[in-house]
Amino acid sequence: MGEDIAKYSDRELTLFRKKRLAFVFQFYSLIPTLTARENVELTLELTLRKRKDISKIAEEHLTLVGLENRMDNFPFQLSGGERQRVAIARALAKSPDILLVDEPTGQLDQKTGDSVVSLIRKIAKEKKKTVLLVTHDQELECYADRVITLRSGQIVSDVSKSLITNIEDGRILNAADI
Amino acid sequence: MQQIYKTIFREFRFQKKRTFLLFLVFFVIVSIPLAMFSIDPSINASIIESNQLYQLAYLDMGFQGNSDEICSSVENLINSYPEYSDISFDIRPSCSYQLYHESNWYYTSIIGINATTSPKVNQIVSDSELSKLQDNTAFILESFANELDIGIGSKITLYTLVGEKEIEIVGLVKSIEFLSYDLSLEGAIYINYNTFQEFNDWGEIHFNNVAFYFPSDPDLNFVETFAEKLREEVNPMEAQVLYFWYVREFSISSLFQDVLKLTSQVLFVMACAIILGAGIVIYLITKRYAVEQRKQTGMLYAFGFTPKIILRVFMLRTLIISIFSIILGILGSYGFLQIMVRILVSRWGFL
Repeated sequence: MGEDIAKYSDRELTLFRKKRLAFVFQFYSLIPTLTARENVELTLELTLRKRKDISKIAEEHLTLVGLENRMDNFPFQLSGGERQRVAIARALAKSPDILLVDEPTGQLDQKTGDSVVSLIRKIAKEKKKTVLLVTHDQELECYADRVITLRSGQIVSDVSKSLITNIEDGRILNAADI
Repeated sequence: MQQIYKTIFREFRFQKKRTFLLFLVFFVIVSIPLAMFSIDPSINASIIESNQLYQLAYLDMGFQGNSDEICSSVENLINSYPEYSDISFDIRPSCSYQLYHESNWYYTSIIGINATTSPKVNQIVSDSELSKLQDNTAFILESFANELDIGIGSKITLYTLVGEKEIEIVGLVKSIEFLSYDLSLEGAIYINYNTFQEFNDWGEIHFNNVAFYFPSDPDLNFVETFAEKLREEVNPMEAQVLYFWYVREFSISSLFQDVLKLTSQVLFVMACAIILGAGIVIYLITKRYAVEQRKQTGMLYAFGFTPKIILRVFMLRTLIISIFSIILGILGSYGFLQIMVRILVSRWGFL
């Protein structure tokens, strides 16, 4: 993007976060008193004015993550995987340039974790978004185009990969498989 | 409604216990004191029998001498000033008496009243027509009746030098003239003129009284001015005036002042403890809430909500609880105080 955001004022940073960034947190960070739909609408209200548009986009994204039947459930009524899906829908709904994902599988079992990361990748590809994912789980490397390894805060490797070339039936195929 | 504001109301639903606790704290430290010291309702609110004649201020002038001359002087004063035209008066004989009842002696005032008109005593609960106080019947101060453990229909015996006389109680009185027996240890019995004349010789001390009644809520200055003019009007040479008067100020705050005087130290310590306790609870609740909200605040900030909106939401929640609890608390306290007043009035006879 070619902009030095370190020089931004607080107001500019807030605007930057509002318009161009979205987050998916390890602990989901859903508002417990809002339903899945309302959680998604919450962030949409930052950028959109029309109620109709907000509801429509929220529903679209919840459907995209497979929660069309769970829209009016509160977070405590959802499983860990479902909560993370709501968090993903919430992040993607406002159509950010960059999606920051922090340990998205940290609270999930292997299978659910894989499906969540797979979903992030799929949607990011479809919508042409940049995803910056931070994880301790090295198995998630296969989902990445570029892997930067940090140790004690220092970059120890930075590898661009073209391993992931296709997704078929929810199964990730890498170059070697093809 | 925007979802961010919806969270405020949902908080009330999801955090019922904490919301209620906060409500209760505001109720105790804000609403009750506000209700107690700001609301100053008319005493009419605590009149039990609202259809009875009622006078807020009462002026009593005792005299020895010719009652006709006194009557003429008083009428002259009332007729001379239009502002006094609503004041009525009643010349009544009275005497102090030691009532013997069930092995005990009770200091009692016996007052003769005019039975041809509605008796000008306050708040009478009676089985009979108020204006028809028959011979050998009496109204009795309610708190005194409670002390004697008698009620309407009961009979008391008055002992005189010439024999015994049974008097039937036909009404219970809460009167401005007498404090509760519990406080004053002075009972009061109202009988009609005829009955009083019959027993006139019994009393140890005899008075003639002029009782003045003010039909509306007069302020203290009004009664004081009237009393001064009365003092000028009645010629001390014509009658030996044993003059005294009083006005009782009736309001919830003054009522509570009376109560506070009785138990002021205990209440003061209690009030301090309540305020201190409530302050600590508010501090703890707010602190805990702020800590709980830290994560949510950070998340909202990350999404791009401005600190201004986040702060507004945080403050709005507390504001809504406090306004709601204060309004509801004042209404509730008002009702609560009304009930307390009634209990106090009935128990201690402040009226």
